[in-house]
Amino acid sequence: MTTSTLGVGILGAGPVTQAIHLPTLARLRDLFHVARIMDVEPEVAESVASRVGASWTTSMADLLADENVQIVVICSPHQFHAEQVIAACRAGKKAVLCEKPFAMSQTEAEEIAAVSRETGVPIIVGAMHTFDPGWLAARANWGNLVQTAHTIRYSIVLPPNPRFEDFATEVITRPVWPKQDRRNPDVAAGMIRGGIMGLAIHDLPLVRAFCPDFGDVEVLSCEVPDPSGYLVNLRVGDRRVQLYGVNTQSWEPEWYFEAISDDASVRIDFTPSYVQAGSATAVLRRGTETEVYGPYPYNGYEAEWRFLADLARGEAEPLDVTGLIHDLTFALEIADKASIAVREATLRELRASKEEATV
Amino acid sequence: MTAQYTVIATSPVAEADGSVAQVIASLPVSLHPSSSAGADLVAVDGEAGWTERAERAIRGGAGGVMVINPGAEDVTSLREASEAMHVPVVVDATWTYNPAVEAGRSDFSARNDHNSLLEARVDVPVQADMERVLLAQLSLIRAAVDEVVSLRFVRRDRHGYDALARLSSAARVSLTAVATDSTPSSAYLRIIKPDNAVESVLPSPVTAIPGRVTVSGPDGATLLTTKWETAHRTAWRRLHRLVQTGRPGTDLRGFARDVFVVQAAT
Repeated sequence: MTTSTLGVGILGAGPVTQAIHLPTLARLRDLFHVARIMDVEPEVAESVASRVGASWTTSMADLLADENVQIVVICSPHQFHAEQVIAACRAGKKAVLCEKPFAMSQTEAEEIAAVSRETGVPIIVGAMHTFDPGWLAARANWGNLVQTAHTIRYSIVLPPNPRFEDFATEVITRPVWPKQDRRNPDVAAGMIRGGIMGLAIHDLPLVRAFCPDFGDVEVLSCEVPDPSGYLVNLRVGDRRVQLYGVNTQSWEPEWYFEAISDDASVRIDFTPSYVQAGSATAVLRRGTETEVYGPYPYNGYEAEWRFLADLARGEAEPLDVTGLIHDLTFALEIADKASIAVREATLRELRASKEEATV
Repeated sequence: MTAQYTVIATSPVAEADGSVAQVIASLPVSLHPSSSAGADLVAVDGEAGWTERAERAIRGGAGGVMVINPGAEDVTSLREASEAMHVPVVVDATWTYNPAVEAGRSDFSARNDHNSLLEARVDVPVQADMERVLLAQLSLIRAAVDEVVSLRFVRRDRHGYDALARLSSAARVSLTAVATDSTPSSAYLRIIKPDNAVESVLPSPVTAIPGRVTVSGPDGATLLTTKWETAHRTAWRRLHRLVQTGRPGTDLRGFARDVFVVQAAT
């Protein structure tokens, strides 16, 4: 193993590490090597580390104390993110990549920002589509669309992750998702919160880019489609926003983002996560003119790793942590308000059906 | 044997919005242009007062009436005249008669149940009258899937609308209209079930570019057979058929129910 490349330490060795980050790092051997992998399950840590010739541990402290680890990647369950980001910064690493969301509250996010500023350790959040070459090409060419867009829509039709993971790697451990009853108000609220913070959050930074008044969020409606997912209509400032995500057993994925004004629109179709399927393709339309950007050879994950290398070498400007906090608070506000809205709507439906049954 | 009927558009708006001359030119055996008031078939635009104009045409001896993209009006009197005088009235709402609507009907119906969510979106020009757009969208949904029985606006403004609705099957509907000149007008329908889906993409009624209906499931996806016929032309063939066979048609009844839903919308 060459030591001229940057040593990566990974906290959490689940499917995201196995099927996204390790295959991506395999494409970037001139920049990185995996130095150490930590997981609370020793068999998982050992097995995953052995694939890449890395050492392993069940202790975050051990990984952070390892001098061979220069970049820390956090792929653990959401509730551990803030604590681990802060610990990685305090350990004086060169850069930290945290999977989204990087905190579960504004307080946590502000603590992270303060520690990042204090230690000078740059942090990026794994919002891979913000690094996708298709998105970046659209951004460079859409002119004043951010100022003029009135409608923003974002749709994900998501087949089970193993349909992609299994072609990216051989996964050895997976979370189990129990079937849930979306007609139970509390379950529906939990599904919406989980859907926003687990799935919609991927592209909420893209939505926020088109919503200058992102602090002014109103949830106009919120529903859970069958069997699970979310359909949320929002007013964000003067922008009409719709978030739609549905989990299916289908083989056919869809993942697109749209921003539309009176005379221009952009639609960006992203490739599925996990597999190395290149970048998004962006289509800009202005009446009878159409411009297409992409697909480019690599996706947002690879782009985010390339940026991380530049950051660690001091060759790129760190991202503004305030922007990352705004992304998080935007997501949290939508998740909170949408889950309240769906609980109330589901309760109303439940009462109505009970009254109907009584009559 | 195909009967030939003469056709007149009663206004420049009817002529333009309905592409009447182009349709007649594409059906030269069935239709023939007329410049006289006594034409067999009459095209009426959907601007305010269209019900009176259509009824006047019936009482003036027309054998069939084509109404193009109508706004909300009370059709009670027109229906009575149509039924009493056995004169069919076809409502040429923007997408309803695209051949792909008929092609996809059984696949949408098979997925239309109380657990379903129908996504219905239209992209329309910036200057479009949103009430007429909504009526055209309801007409499309009625023809392609099922009848919308209740509707609640989530928002509506000059950029379009979002609404939530129910079909008669109790399926939920998410209706959207987006006003933009960045793309040609189009309509989109989709029902996603846990392991299969059907979707339909319909172009503007003035183009012969086919609508596309795709049915997907565990075994793959099928693009249903398409036809290179404009929605306007299909609508005129329907009117011709109704007149020739002496059948009244049901367009006004459906239109009246859609108007009721729009006017009752919260």
